[in-house]
Amino acid sequence: MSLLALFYLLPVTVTILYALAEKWYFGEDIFPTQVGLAWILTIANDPYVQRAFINSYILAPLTAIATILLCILPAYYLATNRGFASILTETLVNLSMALPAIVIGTGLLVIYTLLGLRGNLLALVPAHMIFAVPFSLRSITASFMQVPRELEEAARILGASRYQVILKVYLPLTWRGFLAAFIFSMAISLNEFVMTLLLGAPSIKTLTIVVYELIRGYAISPTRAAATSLFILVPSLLAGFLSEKYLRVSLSLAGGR
Amino acid sequence: MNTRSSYLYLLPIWIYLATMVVSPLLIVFLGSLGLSPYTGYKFTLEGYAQFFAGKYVEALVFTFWNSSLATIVAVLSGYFFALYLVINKPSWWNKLSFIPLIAIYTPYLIAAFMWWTLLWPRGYISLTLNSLLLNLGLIQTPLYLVNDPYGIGIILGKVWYTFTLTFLLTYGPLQLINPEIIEAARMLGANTRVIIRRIYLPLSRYALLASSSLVFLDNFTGVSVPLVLGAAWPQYLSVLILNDVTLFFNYIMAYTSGVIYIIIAVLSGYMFFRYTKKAISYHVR
Repeated sequence: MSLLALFYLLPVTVTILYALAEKWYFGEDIFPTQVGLAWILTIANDPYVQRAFINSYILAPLTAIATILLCILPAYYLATNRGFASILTETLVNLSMALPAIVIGTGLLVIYTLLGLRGNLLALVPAHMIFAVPFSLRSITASFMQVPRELEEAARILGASRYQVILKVYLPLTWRGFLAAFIFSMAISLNEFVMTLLLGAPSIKTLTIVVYELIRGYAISPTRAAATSLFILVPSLLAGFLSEKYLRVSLSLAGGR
Repeated sequence: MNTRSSYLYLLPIWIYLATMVVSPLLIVFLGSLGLSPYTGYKFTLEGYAQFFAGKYVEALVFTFWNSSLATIVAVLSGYFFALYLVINKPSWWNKLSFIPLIAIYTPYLIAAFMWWTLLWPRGYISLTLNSLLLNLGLIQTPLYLVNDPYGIGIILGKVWYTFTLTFLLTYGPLQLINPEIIEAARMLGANTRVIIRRIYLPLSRYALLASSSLVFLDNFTGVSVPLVLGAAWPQYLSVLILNDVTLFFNYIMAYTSGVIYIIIAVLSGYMFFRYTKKAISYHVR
């Protein structure tokens, strides 16, 4: 147990320590000689980081909402039909999970350049959705499958159209699946690095891009990078903790209890 | 549901996949043959000739063995941890089950940076390990644990994430094994080692193979971890493609490497879905 806790908590703890280190002569001292919130406040007041923060937290919910909207109708179909079209769709969606992001990004670069979409914040949303769609579709389909068919049949007998059935029967009963899809899609968007680097350049920066800029090459700034990391790490871990506590998102996705 | 109108339900996702997944793949494939705005629309196989002649093959080999090693470490440790939980049912698990899930909710790049802070020459792990090995006389000069040519840092960074992935993918199927079988084996005198070898392992083999394929895929295709924790050379193929696109504008090599990358990734992906289906049908039956 303690080994497991050490393995997972040590990197997080040390990153927090770096973020709090106001004075630390790495060559001489094992621990920082002065700790405080100076770096975190500096980063929080830096307009460059503020812009990146806003971009990250605009993109993440937009990606999650767009992913869910895209998945509702196909998920309903997949949950209620097991024909050739369902198998083909599932195979294609699952296949996209297996594809390297760097290769898809390289191909999308041509499309985005030709359409003049490079460096456009909103145009990054469909690119961020690529790896969110398989998880969300699976989560929403699974929750649709759990809705008793009798409820749909009763609504249909009472005159509801298929779209009304989705809106009035399925959606209220499957909010957990939607919430899980929303959280996972947001986490995937916040995690996204390659697509933003390739398609957002040069004007769109997200927090992961800023962290990358602070740790690449020879001008490495571990304390600033650590302070910037906290702005993405703390909300991600908090959302993760709450979703696991109340929804058991990843354990239920994996089939555990 | 009427077939023609039913396709309307699937149409949004088909359009999305065609635009955002299939088109880029076609562009990459055609680009590898020189048929792209960035390569001058002139048919050539020069990219493939160059790929198999030099550093790209070296990068592919490095990517393959490094991700394979990371996969073996992650799968073995994740699977045995899942087994430990299923067999011993420790009381602390309910309260602390979020700990390994930290990795799932941490962005890759941030995770890679967090490991960098521990592994760089002034990092705690690097300092502790090097002073131990130097004092024992096992090494003469300190080891580089990050940005090193063997990819030690990459392996550690990847295992941190994929351990959780393996554990999640095998824990569920292990829990579904009928406890009466275990009970019967125990009554017949089987010890834990025999039970693992004769019951748990055979009944969870497809889940184990599925998780191995997924972990390998994740390790093999990732960019952030090798970019932050990897050496200047040898590089991961994904990093080489990124550099070809963003620094050297060598598009034909980026496209060619991309095609070869996709072929290997799709093969692993196929294994994953094949074993996942088998694992599911195994438990449903």
